[in-house]
Amino acid sequence: MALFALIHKELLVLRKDWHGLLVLFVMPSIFILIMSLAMRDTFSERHQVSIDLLIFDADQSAMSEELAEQLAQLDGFVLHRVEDLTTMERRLARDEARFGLVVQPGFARGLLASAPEQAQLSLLLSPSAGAQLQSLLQLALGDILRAMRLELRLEALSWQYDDLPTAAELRAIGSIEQRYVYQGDTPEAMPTSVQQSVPAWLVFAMFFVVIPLSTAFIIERQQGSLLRLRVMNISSTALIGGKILPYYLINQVQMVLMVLVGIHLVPLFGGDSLQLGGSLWGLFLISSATSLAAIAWALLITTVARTHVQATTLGGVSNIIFAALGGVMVPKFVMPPFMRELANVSPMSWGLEGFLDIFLRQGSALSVLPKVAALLGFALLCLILASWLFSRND
Amino acid sequence: MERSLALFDIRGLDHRYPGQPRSALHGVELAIPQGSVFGLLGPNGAGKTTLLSILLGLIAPSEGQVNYRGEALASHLAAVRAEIGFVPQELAFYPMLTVQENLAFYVRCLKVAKPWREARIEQAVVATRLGDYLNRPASQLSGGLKRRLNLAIGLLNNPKVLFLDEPTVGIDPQSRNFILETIARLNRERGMSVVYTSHYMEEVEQLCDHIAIIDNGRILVQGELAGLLAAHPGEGSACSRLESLYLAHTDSALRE
Ligand SMILES: Nc1ncnc2c1ncn2[C@@H]1O[C@H](COP(=O)(O)OP(=O)(O)OP(=O)(O)O)[C@@H](O)[C@H]1O
Ligand SMILES: [Mg+2]
Repeated sequence: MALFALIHKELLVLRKDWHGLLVLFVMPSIFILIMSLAMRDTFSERHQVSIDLLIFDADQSAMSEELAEQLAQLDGFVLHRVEDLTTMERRLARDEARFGLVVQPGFARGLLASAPEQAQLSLLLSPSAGAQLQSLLQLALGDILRAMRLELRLEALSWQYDDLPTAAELRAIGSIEQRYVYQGDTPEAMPTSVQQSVPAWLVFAMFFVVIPLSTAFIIERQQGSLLRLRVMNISSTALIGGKILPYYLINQVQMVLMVLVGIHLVPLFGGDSLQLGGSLWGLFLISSATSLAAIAWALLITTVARTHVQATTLGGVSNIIFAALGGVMVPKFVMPPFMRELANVSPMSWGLEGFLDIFLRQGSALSVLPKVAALLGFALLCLILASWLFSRND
Repeated sequence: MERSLALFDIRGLDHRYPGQPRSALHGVELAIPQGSVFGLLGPNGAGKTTLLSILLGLIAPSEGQVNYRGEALASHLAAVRAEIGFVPQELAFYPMLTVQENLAFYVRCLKVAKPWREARIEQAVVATRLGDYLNRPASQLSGGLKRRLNLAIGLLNNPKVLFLDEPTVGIDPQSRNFILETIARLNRERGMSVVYTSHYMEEVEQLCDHIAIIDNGRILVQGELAGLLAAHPGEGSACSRLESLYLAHTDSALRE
């Protein structure tokens, strides 16, 4: 059958096009590795976030010492003492640390005063101190100061009453229990950076079939192979099918390979290992739908572009825009709400959400169906447009 | 010649590409006889490729009628194409693949039954003498060998009619001679009809028995070569007479 001949030819051509394969397989592996390692701390429980906090103690009192000790116990912050204000300012300006706390002279006295008149503490910020961390630190500092003042007052009362709580008792609020919530059953996997990067860069790489597909197709068109095939009575259905099936295969190989990279390669470099928790049927469905959307998009680009340089540019740029919008380059959870809304226009976002259903939210085959439907609808639309343009131009 | 006996009988053919100001073909009336080597001679942009594309059903003409063996082309296009071997003006194969891989791919596309595929390839390889280059990537062939591969693929369906669109562009005299001889042999030994476009006078002179001169989409002269030359007395060899015939009909101004 001609279709098999076309598929076989396409795979032969691809096998010899190692540039194309590099883009399809090596690029996403490298991205997954880098992003899993780089974003590890943003996600992980085990590897704590560590924000540098400088402290310059100009008060040199027992109270300021107590404050430093309390700060040292704060989760997520690493305390460094500096000897003078200039050093602190220099290091902050160079972004070597994000926060600097100056304990002003008279800090201890201020704690005892009923209403402190002047600032007891100054918080200095480096250019990259984020707004969220700032408010977190403010809250923590306020908390420590209130506890210290309360402690001092209680101490003053303790000669009158003997059943007052001690400072330690006051501070012990009991730890707050914490757990992640998923759609499906109770999960084994924790959301680590690798759980996010594998699907993100896999979807990105799948859409990059546009480069080899359009290049090959346009060269066939320019060099007359396409005419020759039409004179040999090959239908355009067979021609288009002869493109879809090989690239579908390639996309599935990409999927398996990127999952393997997540499971085996990332841990070799010290990252977490990918956990496959959700439904395998769901994985197959979302992977197939993403692949068809990517291929149909590539076919549409191929029919719109006149030269293969046009196609690679158009395909590459559109992919990068889809990726930037769709939460591949910047995870959606760090986006502000309106950007999250905007992300929904990108088909990469539908694919990515589907994969995240499986990898992150332990979803079932049912949970990915809305995304699968959206992707298939998109694929169908692109295919209809592409075949219309194809029959009109060629 | 009796027109109904013609292989191709073309009447009132007009074609304008969408969005183009000028027609690529104007009122073309042409008969291509069975069993002949038919030369379609014309300068760049004359409309040769457009005419071939219409005969192959690749383009639907804006107006006019094309009959193949007395029947409307459109009514049995698939069957007509099955009888035609097509050698496009471009090198229509896959440069990344070897000669063998290219031939194997195209022979499968022709739906040749498996037991016959090897024989078909062998036949085409022998005719074009590509035997020593089967495992070479097509991209590494010389210009002459690429043209021979282009021809070999056109022979894979064992055609009754061979369409060649400028098959000798950009190659040395030896390779050109070889290709011309191959075409002549196929016509002589297998009775293959040949439709051949070119703008090289001496090729047409050497190869063709019937010609048509086309310029700006119009057929200027057509008929048996010998008769046309006899009717156009001039000094010198046949070739220079063909050239003066050609120049007399096409205006000798420089082309686009
Ligand atoms: N696909 C197309 N779209 C628009 N115009 C075209 C197209 N193909 C050819 N033409 C125009 O039609 C005219 C005839 O072109 P055609 O390719 O048939 O000439 P040709 O005789 O084969 O020339 P050459 O010797 O250069 O191959 C030219 O003016 C050309 O610019
Ligand atoms: Mg041409």
